[in-house]
This record gives sequence, structure tokens and C-alpha cells, in this order.
Amino acid sequence: MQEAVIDSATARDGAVLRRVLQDAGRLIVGKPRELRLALCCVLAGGHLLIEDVPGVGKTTLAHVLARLLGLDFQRVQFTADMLPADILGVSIYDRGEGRFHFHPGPVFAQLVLADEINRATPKTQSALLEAMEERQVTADGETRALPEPFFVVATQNPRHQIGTFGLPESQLDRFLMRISLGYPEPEAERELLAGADRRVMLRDLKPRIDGAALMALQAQVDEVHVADIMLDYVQSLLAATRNSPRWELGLSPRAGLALLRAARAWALIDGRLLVVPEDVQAVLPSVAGHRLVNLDGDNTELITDLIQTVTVP
Amino acid sequence: MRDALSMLPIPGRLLGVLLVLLAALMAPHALNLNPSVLAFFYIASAWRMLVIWRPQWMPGRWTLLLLMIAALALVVFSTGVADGRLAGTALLVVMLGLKLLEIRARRDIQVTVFLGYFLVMTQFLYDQSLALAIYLFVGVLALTVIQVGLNRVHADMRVQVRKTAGMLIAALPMASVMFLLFPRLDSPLWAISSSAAVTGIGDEMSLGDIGELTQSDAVAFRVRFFGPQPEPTQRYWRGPVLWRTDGRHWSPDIRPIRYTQPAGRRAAPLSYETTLEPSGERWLFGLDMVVDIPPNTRVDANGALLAAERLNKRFTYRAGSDPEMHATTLGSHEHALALQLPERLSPRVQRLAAQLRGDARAGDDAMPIALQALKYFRENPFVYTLSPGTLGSDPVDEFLFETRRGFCEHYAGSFVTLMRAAGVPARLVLGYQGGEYNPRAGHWVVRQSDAHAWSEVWVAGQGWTRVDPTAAIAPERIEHRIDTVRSQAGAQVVFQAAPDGVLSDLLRNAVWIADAVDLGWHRWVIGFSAERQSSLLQTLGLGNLRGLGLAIALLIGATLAAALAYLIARLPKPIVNDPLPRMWNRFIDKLRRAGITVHGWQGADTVCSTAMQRYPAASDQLVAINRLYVQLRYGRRRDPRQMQALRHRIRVLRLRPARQAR
Repeated sequence: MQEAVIDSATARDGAVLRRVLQDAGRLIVGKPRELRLALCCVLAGGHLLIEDVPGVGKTTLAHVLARLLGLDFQRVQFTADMLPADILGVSIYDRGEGRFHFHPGPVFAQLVLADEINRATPKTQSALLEAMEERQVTADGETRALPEPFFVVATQNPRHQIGTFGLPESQLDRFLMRISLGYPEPEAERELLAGADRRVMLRDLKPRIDGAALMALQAQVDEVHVADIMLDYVQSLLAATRNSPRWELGLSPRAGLALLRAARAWALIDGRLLVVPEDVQAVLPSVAGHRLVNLDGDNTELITDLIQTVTVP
Repeated sequence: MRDALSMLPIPGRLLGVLLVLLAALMAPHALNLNPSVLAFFYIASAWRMLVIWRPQWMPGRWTLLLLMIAALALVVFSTGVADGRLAGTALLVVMLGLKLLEIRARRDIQVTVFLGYFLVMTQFLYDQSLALAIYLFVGVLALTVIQVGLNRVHADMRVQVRKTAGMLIAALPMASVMFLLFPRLDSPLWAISSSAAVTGIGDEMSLGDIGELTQSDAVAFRVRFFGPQPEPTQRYWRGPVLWRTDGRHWSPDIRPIRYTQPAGRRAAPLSYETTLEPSGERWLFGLDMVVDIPPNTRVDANGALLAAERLNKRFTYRAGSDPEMHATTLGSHEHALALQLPERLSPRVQRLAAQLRGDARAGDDAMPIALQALKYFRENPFVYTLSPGTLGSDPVDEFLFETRRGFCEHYAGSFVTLMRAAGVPARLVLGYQGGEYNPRAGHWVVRQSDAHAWSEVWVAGQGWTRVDPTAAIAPERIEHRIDTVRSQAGAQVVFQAAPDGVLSDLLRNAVWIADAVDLGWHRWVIGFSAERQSSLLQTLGLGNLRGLGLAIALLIGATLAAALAYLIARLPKPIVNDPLPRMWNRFIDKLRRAGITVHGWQGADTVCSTAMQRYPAASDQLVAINRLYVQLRYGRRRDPRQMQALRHRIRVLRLRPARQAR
């Protein structure tokens, strides 16, 4: 009887990815699910928005991912007086050569951490978001491609803090996922407090793969099969969000595409070349949470409820 | 996965709502059933309500058995089995109560909801009024919402209600077709028991009865005129004619009712449609005199209209009348009867009769004598009252010379006696007089308080002529209705005059509208009889379908429609006969039997890991089953060998509880 349903190459990919998660889990304790979602987001080639209060490890998470995936890392602290050029870069006239030289901004890195993105003015925010979408920067009439792979982790304080410009829904759509870390569980926190300095640990972290390998894995995500009945299932979920009175608007077709890509990546981390309902269910709260405007209550909970109203194929 | 749903745990809130709803739907039965039967149900219902919070109070199998025996005994001893309708309803009610006590799964709630629909139907065996129908319709809507909620397509209540309303609207065409075409029985399925019969005009009268009938505001019948409306003096609704008297009691001719040859439908100056409330009698009331005789009815020799059988349900008929017409037949038998006098007629009455005849100075001419009699009533202190007090052994004498207080029966009875004593053939007619016009509905409402008695005298050359002595003493009686509210016992009768204020005007309007709605309901819904149905079928060209044939035709039609609907419902499925879901369902069934809860929204991974936690020993098998299923179901290709492998693995799967865990 032939029962080998998972081919070995994919299994190897899955194993590598799970090792990345293991290593990351040593620094970011007690958050395996969030770590996996973040990795899933990278694999799917999307950008990640982390919404949380300060001090729960958002920056560390970005750092850890950059180290483990062998990506070069840039961090931009957003402030209210920041200008688009501070992110994208500026052209400066070089007297010796008698022409303009482009000095690339921090956005020219494989993994960009945009810290507290909602502190900047909408103009500066949109400069970054455009770069994220186009994966290129146009300055002084010249278009420059951003490095590959390119992955932005933006962090955002909860909207009700003073002096912030919350991202509008249309901009939030640029992020594949939104997650929040939240306070660690007591045991995890204990481990964190008793353990070594995170900065030291970070320095000692060895990359598991590099940028090229990551791009290969991203290409592999496209190979993950989505059966017709799974498309039916995704459509039912989309329709359910649209029919539900709990949200002003349902999920868009673009959100549907994002959901599928994320589900594929999630399956690959398991070493599977096919998408099962659980993959979709696992990523749905993070993919849909920031795209659905709800009138009250916690979206994550509502989405979990929603999942329970749709029968799997 | 339909099966998955039926096994889900019971949603407590939904059950609570269902219990309250059933209690509300049960409430109207308080008028019909023995209180102990209802009490049984309500106690069972309350018990089940408590169990929602205290599951340990759920009755066991043996308790239920005992309760069932008790319930059967209760039905037998409280209601008996003589009245099938009552016994059947009572049985349903107690069984519903017992069913509540054994609700353990969603499936049971489903059954309870269906019993709820039955409960709704039993209500209609006792009452078919519009108000109850509306109440129960809301109940049916709520039951269906629960049904939809049970299958939880959507958790939101408003969406469920909207969905239910949509379903019920979608069912309307089918329901309408069934309503119009379903074979009807001519008599009600459950004949109204005799206790339900309404007091009305019988075919006897006795002087000295207090005017109890006159005080009742119950509707006797409603009349809609096509064309001209009758004048106040023409509004005499003719009923039975009384001939024989012993001085106190008046009764009809003892000979069996003879029918005149129906004259067929003739053009009549006044044509109308009457809807008669159930009276338990055969009498129909037509405007004096009926010339256009409705089908299925007859006219007796006295010009009174009769139905073919006793009226135990509302009856609607069309008739035409000519107020100018007089009955012109007087056989020798009738002539003798029309002069029949009580055996003992007091000398005072005989003297008065002779005096009237003398004063008239008209020989045998009837009319002047009658006018003299009316003059006697007018010129002496006669009073129209509803509570004249009882009369002694010779009521006519007593009334004419001593009490002089009375209502229509007294006047008509005494008048006929006087006429006969004076040698004028006379007879007594029972019926209704007057009525109230409802401008909202465009029809006349005649109530029991409009019941009346008047007399007819034989005028040579003219025939039977109506003389209403009550009109002589209380002409308002003819022009206005008696105000039953203000006419207190013992006092002078108060007649209703023009409206006397905005409030009473509003009230009257409200009464009119309610009356119009009620009549419409009975005319178009309850009164849709076999006869109306067949006339509808005639117009549709289906006139030759009858009874069984119609039922078979309906059955075939409904089956075809259902088959078509089923086929259409199945069309969009891409794979019509996929063995994989069947295999999977078998696997799920196995898990369920092993005590694992499986929800419809859970994928194979989730299901298998739940099972693995419960049965760690079977982990390897479960993992293999999951892998195979996932590959087959969600993978690119389907390998038949994998199908076989999965089938085999599901078949050999054994789930045994891990002993060390216990």
C-alpha cells in the first residue's frame, strides 16, 4: 500500500522552517503561534503589522526573523516630524563628480522594521506603504528596485494612544497579516526574566537559511495545491463575512487572495503541498482581522465564531 | 454533514425559548381542555426548564415510564375517551409534556418542534377565529425560527428570522394551491358539540319569558345588500311562524313541514348575501318575503327559509326578497289554525275583542279591526320594557288589563289572540327586526338583541299582512336599536339614537371595522366550503374532478413538484456520487460512537487530533487515516489505491479507551 502522501523535498522544506521556529521560540518565549504566523507572512511574501503595547517583544521578533532567515535588517523609528525622504533616501549633489548621487534610505533593506508607524504623518506612512506595494522606489525620476526578498514588519501602538495617525483601512490592506503578541503567560514571562540577555542571545543566533533560500521557499508556496472544494470553502467564508451583520463590509476578493496565499504558506510550514481547511482557519483571524471593520467587540473572537458557522468541505 | 448537526449538544438558550413558546401556544387550550391535563404539561415544561441549569434533575427512563402511565391515566379519567377530539388533544398535550422531559439531543428538539406544529393544528379544532389564527401564525413563525436556529446556518437572530420569513413566503404559493384545491368535507371534521350552539330563535315561544334573548349582543347574522338597501320599516327578517297557542305557549303547526314548490330564481327588488352564525337550528332568515330562493335551501308553507340540515357552522347564502309581496295561500287547515284560541279565554278578553270588532264597524274586514286593536294599545298606558315580570296562569288577560308592561312577544301574542277572538285569522311570526349598518364593511349586522316577534293577519284579497303591535306602542323599537348597555332591568327601555360624542363614535367605528374583518375572514377562509371549491374548479375547467380523483391528481402533482425540486437541488453538486464523503462519514460515525464530539466546521486534522487525545493508543491509525483522507480530498490527484487503503483503515479502526487513563 502506498501511503507516502508527502514528497520528501517538501518535507525537508517544512523541517527547515520548523527549525527556524524552534530557534525563534528560544528567544520569544511562549508565542509559538504568533511566530509561526510571522514566518508564514514572510513565506507568503506579504508584510506584517504587529499591533501591541510597547515592551512585549515586537522589535525582538523582527530582529530574530532577520537573523534566522539571514536577511539584512534596518530599523526605522517613525516620528511625527519624519519626511518621506527619511525613509526612501535622498539625492545629494556631488561636487567632485558634478552630479547627483542617490543615498538610499533605510527602506533599502531585506527586512525593514518600521517601528511605531502610526506616529508618522500620513504622507510619510504612505511613502513606505507605496514602496511596500511596488517593491521599488521612485526618486528624482529614477526608479530603483528594492532588494529581494523584501519584507516589512511595521509595529503600531493601539490606536487610542495620543499623537498617533491610525492607518486607514485601505492602507491596512497592504499588510498581509496583523498580529499582536500580548503579554506572555506567567511561566513564559518567568523564563524570560530568568534567562540570558536577549541582545546577547540575538547576537549568538545563527542564520538557518539565507535570502536566496527564502526566495526559493516563497516560490515553493506557489506550488502548494488548493483543491476546488477548498476554493468553495474560502468563498463560503468570504460570503459569510459579507452576509454577517457584525461587519460593515465583508472581505474583498483581494482579501480572499491574501487568505489563500497565507494558507498555502501555512501548509508549507507543515511540510504539506496541499491546503486543508485547518490552514485557512489558522490564518483567517490574522488575515481578516484588520480588514474587517466591526462595530464593537473583538474581531478575533468574532472570526472564530464565524469559522464555526461554515461547514468544511 | 446533516448528521453532525443532529448530534450536537443542546443549546440551552434555544431550548428555553422553545419551552416558553410551547407554553404560549398551549395557553388557548385553557378554554378547551381539562385543567389537570394542562397542569401536567406546564409542570413538565417547568421541570425541563429547571433541567437546563440542573442537568442532574433530568428524569431517568423508569421515572419517564411511570410518568407516562400516570399521564395516560390522567387523560382517561379527566377527559375520557368519548369525545375523540378532546381525548386526542389531551393525549397530544401530555405526550408533548413527556417529550420535553426526554430532550437529550438536538434531534429531540427537532421532534418537539414538529409536535409544536401539531399543537397549533389542534387549536383550530376548537376555534377558527381570526384572532387565534394570527396568534398561532406568529407561533408557527417562531417555531420555524427555532427550527432554523437549530440547523444554525447563521447565529444571528435577525438573519434567522429573515430566513424563516423568506421560507414561509416561499411556501405560500404551495399553501394557497393546497388551500384552494385540497378536497373538502361538507361537514366539519369535528362537528361542533351541542354545548357550543348559540342561543337563537327556536320554533317556540311562551309568554312570560323574561327578555333574556333581547339582552344578548351576540351576532345572529350579517347581510350584505347588492343594490338598494331596505327601508327601516322593511327590515323584518322572517323566521318560523307559530300557529298554535294554549294562552301561554305558542308553537308551530304540528304537521310536518311542508314545502312550497320553489318558484325558482326570480328577479327581486332586494337581493343580498347573508352569513348566519351557527345556531344549531335549520332556520334561515330572509327579508320578508323571500322570492329568490338560494340553492340547497327550502321555503316552507309559511314563507320561512330552511336549510337542509342543522347549522353547526357558519352558513352563507344569497337570496332575494320582495317587501311588497304577501303570502296568498290559506287552506282550510290553516284557516282553522289561524282562528284557534286557548281553551280558556277570559271573558274580559272576549269582551274586548267584541268591542274592537264593533268599533271597527267593518264586518269581517280585518284591517280596521287590527287598527282598533293597535289604537287600544296606544291609548291605554302600555309600557315597552324588557323586564315585565312574570305573568300568572292567564298571561294574555293579565297583560292586557293589569300589568300592561311587556316587549314584542307580549304585544304580538296578545294581539294575535285578540284578533282571533275577534274572528280575524292571525298568526305569529318570529324573526329579527332592524339591524345595524356597518359602513366600513358595507353590511348589516343583526344581533340576538334584534330578535323580534310580530303578527300577520289575513286580509281578504290581499293575503297575509304584517301588523307589528310593538311598533304601535314603541315606534322607536323599529327605528332604533335597543341600547342593551343602558337598558337596565326594570327600567324603561333605552333606544339608541344619533351618536352622542366623539368617543362613542370612535368606539362604534372600531366595532364596525372588527366586524368587517371578522366577516371577511369567515367568508373567504373558514367559509371556503366544498361548494365554493367546486364552483372555483368549474371556472378553472377542472369541474369533473371530485373527491378521490382530485386527491390523486393533487398527490401526483405534489410528487412531481417535489421530485423536480429534489433534482434541481441536487444539480449544482460537481460529483454526484462521491464515495469519499461516505467513507469519511462512516469514520465520523465511528468516532461519535466512541464518544467524540465532531462539529461540521472541523476539518480532518482537527477531528483526528481530538480523537488522538482521547484514544492515544490509536494515534498511528488516526494519523494514517487523516493523511490519506487529506491527500484524497484536498490533493491534486486521486489514487484509487489510496482510496482502498483509506477504506480498509477506516474499517479496521478500533477505538478502545486507554485503561490507564481511568
